[in-house]
Amino acid sequence: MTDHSSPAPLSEASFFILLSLASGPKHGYAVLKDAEVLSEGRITLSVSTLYTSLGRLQEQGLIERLDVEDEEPAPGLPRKVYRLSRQGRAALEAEAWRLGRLLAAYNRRLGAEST
Amino acid sequence: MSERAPSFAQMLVRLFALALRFYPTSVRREYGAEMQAVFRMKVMDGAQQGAWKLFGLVWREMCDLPPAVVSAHVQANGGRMDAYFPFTSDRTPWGVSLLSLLPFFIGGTLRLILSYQPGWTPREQSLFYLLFLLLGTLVLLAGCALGSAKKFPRWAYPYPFYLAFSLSTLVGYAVFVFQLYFNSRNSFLFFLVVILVVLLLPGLRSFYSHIRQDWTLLSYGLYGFALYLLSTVDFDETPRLTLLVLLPSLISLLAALAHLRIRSAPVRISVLLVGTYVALFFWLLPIFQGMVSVWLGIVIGSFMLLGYGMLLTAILLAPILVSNAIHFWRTRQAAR
Repeated sequence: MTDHSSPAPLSEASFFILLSLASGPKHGYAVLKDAEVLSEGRITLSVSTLYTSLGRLQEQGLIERLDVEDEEPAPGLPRKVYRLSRQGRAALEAEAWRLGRLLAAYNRRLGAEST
Repeated sequence: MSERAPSFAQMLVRLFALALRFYPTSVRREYGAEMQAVFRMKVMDGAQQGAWKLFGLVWREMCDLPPAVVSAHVQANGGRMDAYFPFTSDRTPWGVSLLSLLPFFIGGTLRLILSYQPGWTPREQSLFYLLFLLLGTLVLLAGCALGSAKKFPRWAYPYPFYLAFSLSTLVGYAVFVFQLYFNSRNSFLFFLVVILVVLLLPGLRSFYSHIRQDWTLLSYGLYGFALYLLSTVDFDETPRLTLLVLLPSLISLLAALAHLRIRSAPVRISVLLVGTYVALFFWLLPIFQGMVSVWLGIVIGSFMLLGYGMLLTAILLAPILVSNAIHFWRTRQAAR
């Protein structure tokens, strides 16, 4: 059973970065674009925010930084990629569970009123 | 895309590479090249979508870079802000805080109120006004003496800077009232240097020695500039006394009060900056309103707000930047 006792809620930027990496390793630019698509254009990360978040997530052990395996990566693309760690996946699941609980609480109290 | 676009995009990438120098060396080594590559791709992408998109991404980067750089420095210091910008977490009691701001209220807000009263108007060579300036200066001098007797606690730091302004205004006004042939234009700098030299005397040096332990003390001292500036008024723009005349001075005093009550160094400094900008907005409002069109008022007003704001920001942040530079220099010396 998954342990949902996450120590602290994830920031929105961290959540979308982890969610983006859940489908496989990506380089910084791909994470940036994917976060924008996943948030339906609501989250547009700046490069400085992206790398502040990536550095922090890496330090917390939620993601790993790897060298690109291809011998010839596309020109201009960074030679490093980021991968979701097992701990990162657990944190993402815990956050989704927490958000789900919040939504359920909202629906119990106000969902019926608004319909 | 026009031919100019790629060179403009390249210039943005170069500027971003320069901005990365503000990051700690460890972060630059680890992520610098990658950040540049991602920024380059973002700019190329943005340039293809038009100037507005490009402006949006540059604006976002400009807004996000300063907090990211500060966060990176704190992170590089193991999360300890005080290791980099030494500060103490003292808090001035309410009574002392309010009393310490009373001379600035007398010399600033009350002076403004009086200067609109018949017989007190500065333009009419008022002797009452001159006497009031003298009284305000004496109150500040007394505050300064009390502060030095108490070995310069936080509340006393703006006194020397404000006193230099007060002495300079007093001399300038005396020259005007008595029609003296004396050039008092640079008297502020003269008084400031004299006061700062006097503070080097034995028994008064705690003014300087405390700053080494807490750089926010000097920032609060330099806030005396903002307190003074925001308690001045252009009688041509505002010929009648309204709340708007007093608001900048009152807001700057409120920010000073918040500074004395807050323990965290970043919040202490932030409250001074926010107070300065909000007070500046109201200080400049009569000038925006006096323009021939709304748009011209907004453009010139914003320009003046940025100009004054950036100058005061540079003054208030100068101690932290100097502390930063010393830290950087010492680290490099140690590395050699």
